[in-house]
Amino acid sequence: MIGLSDIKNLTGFIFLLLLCQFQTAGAGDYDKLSYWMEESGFENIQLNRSGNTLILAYENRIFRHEADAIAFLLHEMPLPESDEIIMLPKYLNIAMLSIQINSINLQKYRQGMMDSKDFLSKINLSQNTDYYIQKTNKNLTNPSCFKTDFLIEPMLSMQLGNFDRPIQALAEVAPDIQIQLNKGLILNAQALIPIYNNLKSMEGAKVRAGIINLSQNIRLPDNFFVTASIGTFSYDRFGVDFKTKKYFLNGLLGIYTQMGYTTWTNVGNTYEDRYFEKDNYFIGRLGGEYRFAAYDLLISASYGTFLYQDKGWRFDLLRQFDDLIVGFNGILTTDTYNVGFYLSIPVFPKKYANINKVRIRPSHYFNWGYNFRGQTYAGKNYSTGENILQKSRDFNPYFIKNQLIIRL
Amino acid sequence: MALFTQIKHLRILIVFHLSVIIYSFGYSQSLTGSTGLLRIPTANLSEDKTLIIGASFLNKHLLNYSGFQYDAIAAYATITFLPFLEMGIRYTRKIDMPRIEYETREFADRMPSFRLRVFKEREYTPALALGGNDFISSITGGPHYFASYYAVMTKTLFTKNENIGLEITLGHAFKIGNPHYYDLLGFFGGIRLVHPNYPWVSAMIDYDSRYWNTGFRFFLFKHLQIMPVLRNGKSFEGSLSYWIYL
Repeated sequence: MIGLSDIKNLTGFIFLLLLCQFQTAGAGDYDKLSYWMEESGFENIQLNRSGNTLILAYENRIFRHEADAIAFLLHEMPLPESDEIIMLPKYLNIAMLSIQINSINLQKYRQGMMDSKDFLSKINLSQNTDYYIQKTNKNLTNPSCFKTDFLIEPMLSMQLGNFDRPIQALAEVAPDIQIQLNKGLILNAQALIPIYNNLKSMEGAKVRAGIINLSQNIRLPDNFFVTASIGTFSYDRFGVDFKTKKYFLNGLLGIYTQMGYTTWTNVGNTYEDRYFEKDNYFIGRLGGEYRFAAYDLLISASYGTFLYQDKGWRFDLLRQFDDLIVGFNGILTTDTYNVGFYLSIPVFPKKYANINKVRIRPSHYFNWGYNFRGQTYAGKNYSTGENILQKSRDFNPYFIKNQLIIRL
Repeated sequence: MALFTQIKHLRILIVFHLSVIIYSFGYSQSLTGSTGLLRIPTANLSEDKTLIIGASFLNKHLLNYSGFQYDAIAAYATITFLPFLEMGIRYTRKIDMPRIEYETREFADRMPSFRLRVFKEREYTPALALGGNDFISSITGGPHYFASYYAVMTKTLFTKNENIGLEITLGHAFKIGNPHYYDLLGFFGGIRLVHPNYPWVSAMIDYDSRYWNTGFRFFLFKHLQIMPVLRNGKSFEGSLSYWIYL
């Protein structure tokens, strides 16, 4: 005879069995998603469950635009059982943004029961990732470390000249090796190869070194970003550079600083190398920026020392037109003033091959700028290459949301 | 006297019945590179995020920049940077010049421009914009051949039977700074006629504060604008531009 206590035990056993089966099925779903993410080319994947929330941290190095990667995931990724999904897109294995999605809404959107506008209005994008970072899985799938990106970047220096050479130009390709060595740590090694040169001030330019440095990028709590670089920078400078940026109002307002100490190096050979002084210089700048989210417009102002020790202001008005960036800048220093514009033009294609160990691809952008006063030392600042402060612009929650409106 | 002549030419407007319909049949790109009629700017801006790249042929007979000796090509890029702000850059180079050595330092002309729309066109009120060309040289004191600082109004109207749309522009350019030459100075105005069913073609006449100009605008394949212009009744000019929607 089976007693009441036996029935209770049996019921408990069946419940435990079902629970185990359910959990196993859930884990299977997660494995499936992790495998799918890896197969799709995403890197630094961290996937786990916190309560009924799926936390998915990943790094996109296959789509040129972050919003394309997010849209791809929203449309295509297999959905494990969960009430809520938190997506954490990363840069150099550092989470840059949190995207909170209700799983039922995502299902409805995918099934055509909810339009994209309605779905997007129910997505919560936040620059702050602190809370979710603590809950991410510590195991990393498909890590980016030591995977080498071999970039080919087109470069153009141009001067509108006199009538014997009305347009002077130096067109170059800049092969650049980028290797992620650790979380936030990246090695850059760039060479400059002239293709066409009738730029009078750069006559005889040969193959030479470009930016070769090591950069450590860090994200601290409360939307505080830091980049420290050592090595060679543009304008033939060698030294150290330290940048910080703190965001407020979910990325609308930012305050930034820069400090650097550099000396001249002869590994490169640029216009400045030939015409300007080769002393050791300290650079220190403080600035602020504000984003008008409706237009993806950034307005910024900074004050401090420029590279060649002139002090003054720099003003920028920059708009992100999807992948294209158009900006205008003004320089007001103790000695002079200057105005100019710059473009960051996306380079084909929009999607790249997965990285196994080494990948060759074009650079994301072709960057070009023009100042009305070209032959001046005033208002110069060296570039240390791509960094987390600059990238935070591409991960801004308002910008990403505006871009998802176009893509979903 | 000049003003009287201008008013006389505009009397043609009286025959049109003012309609309250606001209708856009696309805006044209003037020879100068900014949104306008043939030679003058208007108060309207192209759609937000429109990038226009083009070039104009400028006839030497009306070109102070070349001392009326050489024709010129003006290459330009203009962007509607914000829904209410247009920015542009133009590079003008004289053509068929004898070779000039480096030491002569004969440089081509660079002309930045902007137009800020203060009021958008509404049912009964015109659009109003403020603008300037070659404004950096007036600050820096460099070469300054195409200066103009202006306020301009534009209103779109229709004939009674709505067969013809009219874009009417009136503006005034002011003296600011000390340039070599004002491209616009004083009163300017013009009219564009469009049949709403054929918005790809329009006829224009404008007065650029010195000369009367007539011409056509052909807008093909939603991207390409071709604009032949007859200036002062005898000098041919024209432009070709490509429109990119970002």
